[in-house]
Amino acid sequence: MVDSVVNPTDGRDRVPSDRHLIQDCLRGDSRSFAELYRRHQQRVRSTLYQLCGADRLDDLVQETFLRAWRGLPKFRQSAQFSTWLYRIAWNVASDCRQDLARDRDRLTAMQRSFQEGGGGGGGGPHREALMRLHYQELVQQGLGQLSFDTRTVVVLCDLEDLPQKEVARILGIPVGTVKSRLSYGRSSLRQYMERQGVQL
Amino acid sequence: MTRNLFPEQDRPLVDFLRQHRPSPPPPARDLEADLLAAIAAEPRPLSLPSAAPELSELGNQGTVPNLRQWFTLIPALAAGFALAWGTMRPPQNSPAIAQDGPERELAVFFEASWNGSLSQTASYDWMSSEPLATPGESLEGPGAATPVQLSPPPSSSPEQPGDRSSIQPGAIPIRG
Repeated sequence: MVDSVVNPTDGRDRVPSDRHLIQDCLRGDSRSFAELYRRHQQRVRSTLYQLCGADRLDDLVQETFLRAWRGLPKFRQSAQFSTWLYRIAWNVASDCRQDLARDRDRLTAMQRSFQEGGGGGGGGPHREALMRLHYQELVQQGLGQLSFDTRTVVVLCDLEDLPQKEVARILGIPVGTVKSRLSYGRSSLRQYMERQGVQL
Repeated sequence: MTRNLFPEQDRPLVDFLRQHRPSPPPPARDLEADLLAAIAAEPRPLSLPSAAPELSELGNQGTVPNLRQWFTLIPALAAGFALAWGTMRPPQNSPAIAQDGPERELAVFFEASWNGSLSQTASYDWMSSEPLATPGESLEGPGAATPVQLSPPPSSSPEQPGDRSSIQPGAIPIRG
C-alpha cells in the first residue's frame, strides 16, 4: 500500500503519503480521508468478502472506514496505516462472524443449484467459464469450512499476500501461531479440494 | 518486506487459491458518497497539533514520550523531588545560646520574657476582661512547677478586651 510516493521525473509533484493524509484528516479535511478510502478500500473490501461473504459487504466496508475515521486520533503513526486498517477490518469481521453460518448455507445452496443446472456439461469457453465459477465456489466453500481464526490467517497470508510478521501484528498473535494456523489451514484446504476432485 | 515463503508442496494450493479467489461484488455506486456523508455527520477527530509528530519523528514513537506522557511525567517527577527533599533533608540545628557576654544576657532576657508572656497570655480569655484562672491557680496542670501569679489590670485606664498592654506588666515599653 502507498506510504510515500515521489514523482521520479521532477520530484515536484508529490503524491501525499498516508501519513500526510492522516494529518490532514486530523485537521478536519474529509477529502484526505476520501483519498485514503480510494487507496485502501479494494483490499479491505476483498478481505471482508473472503471473511464474511457478500451479504452486507458494503455496510462492513463502510463500518470499517467509519471506525478508522473515529480512531484516527488514536492511531500511532509509527505503525503502518494499512496494518492498522486491516486490524479494524478484522474486528469488524469478527463482530459479524455469527452470520458466517448463514453464509455457508447460502454457498451450499448455490453449489447445489450449480450442480443441478448441469454445470459439468457443455464445452468450449462456456464450459471454462463454468469451471472457473465452480472453482471459485470451491475456494469460497473451502475457506468457509475453516474456523474464523484459521480462515483469517489463510486469507491474509495466501490471498492478500501479506507477510506473516505483519499478519501477526494485525491479529496481535505470535508469528509462530500464524505459521501453525497457516499450516493447518492449508492442510485442511488441500484435503477439501481433493475430496471435491481437484488435483493439486 | 519479504513475502511469505511456503513449502513447495503448498505452492500448487496457494496458486489455486489465488487464481480462483472469489472477487467481491462491486461496491454500491454511492458507497463513497454515503461514507463521506456519514463522516460529515461525525464529530471531527480531535487532534492535538503539538502532539502530532513531525514526519522526521515518525518511527521514534516507541522511545520518545508523547505529550500526554509528559503531562503525567512532569508532575510525578516534581512530587518525587519534593518528597525526597522533605524526607532526606538533614535536621536543622536548634539555635545555640550564647555562652557569655551581652549576647548571653540578651538570650536570658528573651527566654524569661518569652516564658512569662506565654504563661500570662494563656491565662486570659481574649474575648472577655475576666481572667480564666484566679490568682494562685495554675493553668498548666498538676505537673506545673510554679503557679503563675496574675497581676490585676491597672485601674487608671479603662480596659478593653484584647488590650495587650493591660496584661503584660513585664513587657518592654515601645518608645514612640
